[in-house]
Amino acid sequence: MRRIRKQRALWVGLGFILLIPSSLYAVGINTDAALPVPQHHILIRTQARYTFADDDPSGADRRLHQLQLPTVLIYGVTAKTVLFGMVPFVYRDLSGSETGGIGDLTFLVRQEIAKRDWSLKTWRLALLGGLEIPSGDDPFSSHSIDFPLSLVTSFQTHRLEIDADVRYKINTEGNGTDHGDNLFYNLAYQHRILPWSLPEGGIPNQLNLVLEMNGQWTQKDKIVGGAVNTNSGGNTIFLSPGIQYVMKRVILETSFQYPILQDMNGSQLKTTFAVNGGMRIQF
Amino acid sequence: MSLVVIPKKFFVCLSLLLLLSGLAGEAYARESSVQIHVKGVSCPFCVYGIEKKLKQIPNVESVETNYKKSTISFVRKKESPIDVAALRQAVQDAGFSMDVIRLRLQGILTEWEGKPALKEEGSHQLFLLIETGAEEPHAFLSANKLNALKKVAGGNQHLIWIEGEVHHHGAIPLAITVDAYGK
Repeated sequence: MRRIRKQRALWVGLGFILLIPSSLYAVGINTDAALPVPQHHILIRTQARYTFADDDPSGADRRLHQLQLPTVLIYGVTAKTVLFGMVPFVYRDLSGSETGGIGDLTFLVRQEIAKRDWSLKTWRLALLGGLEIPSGDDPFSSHSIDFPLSLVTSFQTHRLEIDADVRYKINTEGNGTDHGDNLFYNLAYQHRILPWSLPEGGIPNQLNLVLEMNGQWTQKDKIVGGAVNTNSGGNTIFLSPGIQYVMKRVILETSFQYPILQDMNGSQLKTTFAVNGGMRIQF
Repeated sequence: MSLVVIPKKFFVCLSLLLLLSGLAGEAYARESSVQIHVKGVSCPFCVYGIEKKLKQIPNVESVETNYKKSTISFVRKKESPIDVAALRQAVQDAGFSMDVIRLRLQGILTEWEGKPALKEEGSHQLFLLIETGAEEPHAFLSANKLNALKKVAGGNQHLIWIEGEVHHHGAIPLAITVDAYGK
């Protein structure tokens, strides 16, 4: 009994870090984008995200190493309507206690609602909505059906790109807990540095520097029929510099995420930093 | 007096070379280069989808993109008429907008309902001839310019080439601006 209580104590206040920053068709690395996917086109996006957390206000000196491997399948139904399916694999080492498994599946639809094309630049606006189903393994599943809804916009020229997205996720009850809702808010800026001047012909591969601000606010959880969990919820903002190599069929990218603001409730473990890397390929 | 003896192999190779260049010239004349300007394309990753859609159109070959100018060029067989609607749809299905089509045509001068036109060699597709910079469908080629074309052609049944922007205005034949021409 004492051993179970000790294990539970370790997991207390980890809810925030369980959140998998889910940028799906991001052209910013951690920010969603509204750029088109051609009709009947398929893209696959894979990422590896390592999170390290050792700022423990509880005094239990917890230390977390977490590796998340979200894989996203993207399909263009039409040039304006895109389907996304994401499955995340998670491995976690919390103070020596290791566990691994699959997180909940996410299905989304993105619909372009406005656009403007000029020569050499474009602006797009899109709505995303869908659901997250409790198909994952313990302890990575929320055991609830959740509903994300977001608004995404992108402005892109040959030299730079700006993406912004705001996503609200309605989290429902699962496993005796009424999970708090989430608000994600992201802004990304990419700047082409190579080639500095475009060649007169052909399609050059390009190297972009990326800078993002990635925020997430979480409402407190409530125990169903009972009290609010004071060790849940809060607000974190990451500053995320990164680099991206863009080719005709493949994008390679990596970013480092540093929390510049962490306002967490109770004794939750705080993120020290996160690093991610990934690839996108189109068929 | 000594004669330089030219090996028989040399004549065979020379004949073969002349024959092949003639055939190549013949093949080249059967193809026509088309260039489209696409709006909204601003990353290399986006180009792939447009090229893939264009390659799905029958008789579209050798697709090449100039990323800096946002233009895509391809080759089509002259026997196949140019289908502006199919090109526009392909670019739209890729998520972008087609702006201008530039074409070089070879054909004979003719008329359509009394208006100056060119009938393309091979496809027999009709193109109304309109003034450079014209956007509305009725800015047909002036008499002066038409006479200049006829002079270059040297007769109604003689081939002439014309290069310009293609315009599509509903039920009437495609129109092409006469930006450049020659024999």
